[in-house]
Amino acid sequence: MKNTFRTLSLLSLGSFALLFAASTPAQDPARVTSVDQIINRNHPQKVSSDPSSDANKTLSPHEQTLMADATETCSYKFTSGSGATYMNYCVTVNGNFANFQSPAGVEMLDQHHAWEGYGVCDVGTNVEYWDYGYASSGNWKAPVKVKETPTEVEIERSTSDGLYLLTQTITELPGASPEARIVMVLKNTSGTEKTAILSRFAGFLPDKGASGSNLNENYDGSEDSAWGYIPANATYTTPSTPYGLMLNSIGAPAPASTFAFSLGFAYGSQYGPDPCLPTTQDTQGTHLFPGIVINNYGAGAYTYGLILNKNQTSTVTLRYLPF
Amino acid sequence: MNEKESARRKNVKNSRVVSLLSLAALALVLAVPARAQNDAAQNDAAQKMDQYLNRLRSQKPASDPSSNADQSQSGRPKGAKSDATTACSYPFTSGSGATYMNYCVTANGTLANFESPAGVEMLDQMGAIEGYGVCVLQTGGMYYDDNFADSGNWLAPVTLTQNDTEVKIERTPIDGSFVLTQTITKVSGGTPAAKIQMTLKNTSGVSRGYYLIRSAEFVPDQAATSGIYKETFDASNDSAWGYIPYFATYSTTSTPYGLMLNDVGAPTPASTSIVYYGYDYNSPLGPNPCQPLAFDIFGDKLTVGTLVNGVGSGAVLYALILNNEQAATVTLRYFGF
Repeated sequence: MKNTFRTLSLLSLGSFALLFAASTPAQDPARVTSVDQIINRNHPQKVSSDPSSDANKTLSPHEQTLMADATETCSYKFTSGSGATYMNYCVTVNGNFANFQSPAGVEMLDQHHAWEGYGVCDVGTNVEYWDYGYASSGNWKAPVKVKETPTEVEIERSTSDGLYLLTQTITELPGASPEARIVMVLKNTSGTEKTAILSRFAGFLPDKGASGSNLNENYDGSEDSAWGYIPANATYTTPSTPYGLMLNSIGAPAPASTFAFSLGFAYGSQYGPDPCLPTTQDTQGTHLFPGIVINNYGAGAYTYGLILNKNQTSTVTLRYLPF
Repeated sequence: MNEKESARRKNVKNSRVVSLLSLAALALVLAVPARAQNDAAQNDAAQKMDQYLNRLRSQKPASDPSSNADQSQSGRPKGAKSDATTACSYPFTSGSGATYMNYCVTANGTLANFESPAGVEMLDQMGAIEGYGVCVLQTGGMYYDDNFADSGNWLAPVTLTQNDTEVKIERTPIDGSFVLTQTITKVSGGTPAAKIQMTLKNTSGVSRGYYLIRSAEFVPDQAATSGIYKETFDASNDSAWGYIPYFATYSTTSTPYGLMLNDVGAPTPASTSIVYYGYDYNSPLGPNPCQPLAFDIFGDKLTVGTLVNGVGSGAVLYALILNNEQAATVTLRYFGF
């Protein structure tokens, strides 16, 4: 029985992977301009955590306010190096990135707030759990800080229904090639075998995005990575400097038995991917066309398909590195 | 060096004076972004590249030391010199599966291949075109070796040290005006990389300005078997790269991986560094060291900037100023993504 279910799960994942693999031309979905459009479609009743948020209704998406327990507020700050090797980033209480600056003066997430985070889809039930900084699915318990040191923070978060436990350890790796390493451990606490999709999302932005009122840059993805950048010899006008930020998967999920598939991709939306349809639509329900984005707004994500026995964990590792 | 290159060298004025201002001005010229060409020009370039590639690929020797493919070189371009080689001399391997890395360094300090993860070779598709170039700004002297061809004005390389993780190779031009020492180190683990430290020492007797360049023709992993060498290229201030996108808008038989040439930190000492940046261009060959954004080593004109579904290369360029007997060290790395 279990094997049959596992086979079916693998087949469904295989079909899903085929859907991922379908190449479609990039298009330009309409830019979101009102606060209503960033409210999670599954949680339309969520209110802002900021009492003064009414003023935000006329602001750009990245100036708009937050939903429920989602936050872009810096809680755990990490800094190393100087000049070309400088790195500064901050982690929120929920385990999102509030910013990422490297080298010195080049901020590639926080341009009127950072949109960055994680999502989990239960493939069997199609229930989604996500927190992308600008909003969340609203079905998480409060985060628990497990450990904090000058170089690392470990944050644990359970889903409200108790089916999953996500533990994230974010570690500063200073030096000549600085990077922020993210270890995400997803535990199936449901009591039955689960097939899950685990995603990490980043709203990559150019360093003068806010001050220059130009959030456009280039985006793309590969088997191992997703990234956004300003090219060295851009064919378009931008006030930003030619740097990029890459979300790069490190190794394969462990144990290997939990690993079904993984991929990196970019798309032409500022919002995080729908955890259950990561390459197809964003959290606003807008259809996505994954692939190269040139001189436009966009984002990148890295997605893993995982198969978890009862109480089993799967560990994936990623890193943010500037380039 | 071919006749065209020789002619260019002879025309270079030898009376230029070293100054920070002139270097800075040159750097500014280099930094001016090139604009996209029109469709017709791009089509012409694409056709030219196909012809170019066919010309090169048919004669490129294999990197396998046992290969005798390079013995029949009747159609080989005149620029190819005998001491340029794609032959593997110092192989390095680490990891397995997703963390596997294998690369090999030639006797001249160029890379003969780079494979990471397992099964994904992104330099050696019937031979790798990877290497370095130096331009002496005052004299216009060019010194390069990109595996496929070299400038023919180098002394034989000297291997200083070699162990399981590192090889250190010194190379001096025939005129003795500088020494280039390269240390290539295996960085194994979850994020494997080949780290390349290049130290350029001015032994000319006077202060001089230099361009020091590292370049690579990035190629997709199934290029040799499919004959499709095209992929996507771009660059930033720190890096240059080539890759197959996961959701490619073009047909390819290769897997969606990429290889990045990434600067590590700033040149040291800081006083020697004028400017550095990455760029990519539409030629499989290394850039002309003295006109690195304008021409490749065969004198063909380059177009720099985002290249989608094309044949190209990437480079990181350092403009350095060195007092007599002074050395500057730059560090780069190759890693798969």
